Amino acid sequence: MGYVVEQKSQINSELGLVMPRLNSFAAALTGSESKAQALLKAARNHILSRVSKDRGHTPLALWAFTQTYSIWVSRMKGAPSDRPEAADPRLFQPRSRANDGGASARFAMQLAQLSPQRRATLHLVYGERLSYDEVAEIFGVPVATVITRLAKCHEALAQPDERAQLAPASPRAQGRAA
Amino acid sequence: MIDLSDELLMAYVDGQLDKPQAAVVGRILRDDRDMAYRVSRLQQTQAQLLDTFGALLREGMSSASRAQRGSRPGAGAIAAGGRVLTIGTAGFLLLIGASAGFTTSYYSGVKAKPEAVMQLPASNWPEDIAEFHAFFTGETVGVSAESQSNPDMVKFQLGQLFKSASLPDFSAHGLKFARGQLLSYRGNKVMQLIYLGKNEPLVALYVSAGGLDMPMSPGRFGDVKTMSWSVKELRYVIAADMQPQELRALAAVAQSQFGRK
Repeated sequence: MGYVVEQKSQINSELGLVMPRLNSFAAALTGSESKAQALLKAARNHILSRVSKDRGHTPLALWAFTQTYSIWVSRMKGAPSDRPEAADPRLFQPRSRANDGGASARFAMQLAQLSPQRRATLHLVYGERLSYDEVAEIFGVPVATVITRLAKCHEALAQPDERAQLAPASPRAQGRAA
Repeated sequence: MIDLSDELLMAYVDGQLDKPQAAVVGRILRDDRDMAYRVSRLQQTQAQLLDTFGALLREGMSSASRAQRGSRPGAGAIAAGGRVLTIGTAGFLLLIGASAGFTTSYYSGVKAKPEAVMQLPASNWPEDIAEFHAFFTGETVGVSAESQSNPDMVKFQLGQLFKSASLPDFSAHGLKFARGQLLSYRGNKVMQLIYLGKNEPLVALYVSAGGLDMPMSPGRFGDVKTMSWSVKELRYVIAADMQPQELRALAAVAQSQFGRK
């Protein structure tokens, strides 16, 4: 009995450290502060009720991301698409970058225009610094899907190509564009 | 001529290729300027993404930590060296503060209280180092009981810790070795090597054990720019408030000299 209480207390303590990370993930996914809070609440209840039964040997953070994503998917009507869904750009502008002459605000606007899955993928790869394999596992998709999402994000977020504006495109570059 | 897909180049830039694959891509890049240009564009976007999502995550965790501490008596900002630190940074500094001295107390680390320690994702180390580095200036760097300015002593310690007894020489860039100090980051030993110049900003190279081989990648925290990479089971971050090209040049020097005996 003592062991169970101790285990629960340890899980609560670990979860306390994971929750801020889940919050950022939920914000990237939902694109809205209020929706993120609702998702987080549901995820926390779900995690607390299932963690000892279903988690196995998966690290808590990875398992919690997976569960949070599953709850988000189950709330969608039908399978989630990769269509862009405008989010609140304020969620993607760090407060510490507020005085950078508008660069971070412009970038946040671009991020807010991406699809929920792409925003969440960027968060996991560049915020959490997870491997492509781990991200694929969280979303339950092949690694190739993660790579395609990221490549499309890079394409959408890249600065204008100064070299392409200055000179006509090389045959190789034209071939790639086609 | 070999053409590599954007997906493959992106995986290379993100450090997701295994060692032999990354080596092949690296060789191709050396000979193909067009592809090197594509990689540099991917690196630009990657740097923005790392900066944005890294900062968002840190700020979210700092807010949560503040909220948690705000509900306890005696909570508040911590002042150090005339600057007010956020709780997140203070938590990180607590870890650093838990480091042992460079001399006799070398391995006698004092553990910080768990509730005061900000648990950052382990892989955020370049960003954490950059945030930590932002609190150093030329004026704040002195030699204390916890640090060492004798290059031979530092080389000896580097040899003990990382089996590498060389100290990168940045004198061609107007920088002179000032001191070495052993720090602790999430329980791992990190060597901080500080270089100062007459007019140049303070430059620090941070070295720690662990990590898979990763190509050099840029990052930043506020005005502090970083270049980080991992090679032969050692990970490095070089940090300074200077132009990324200049920092990359210093990183290249460090990369070529550090492993030398």
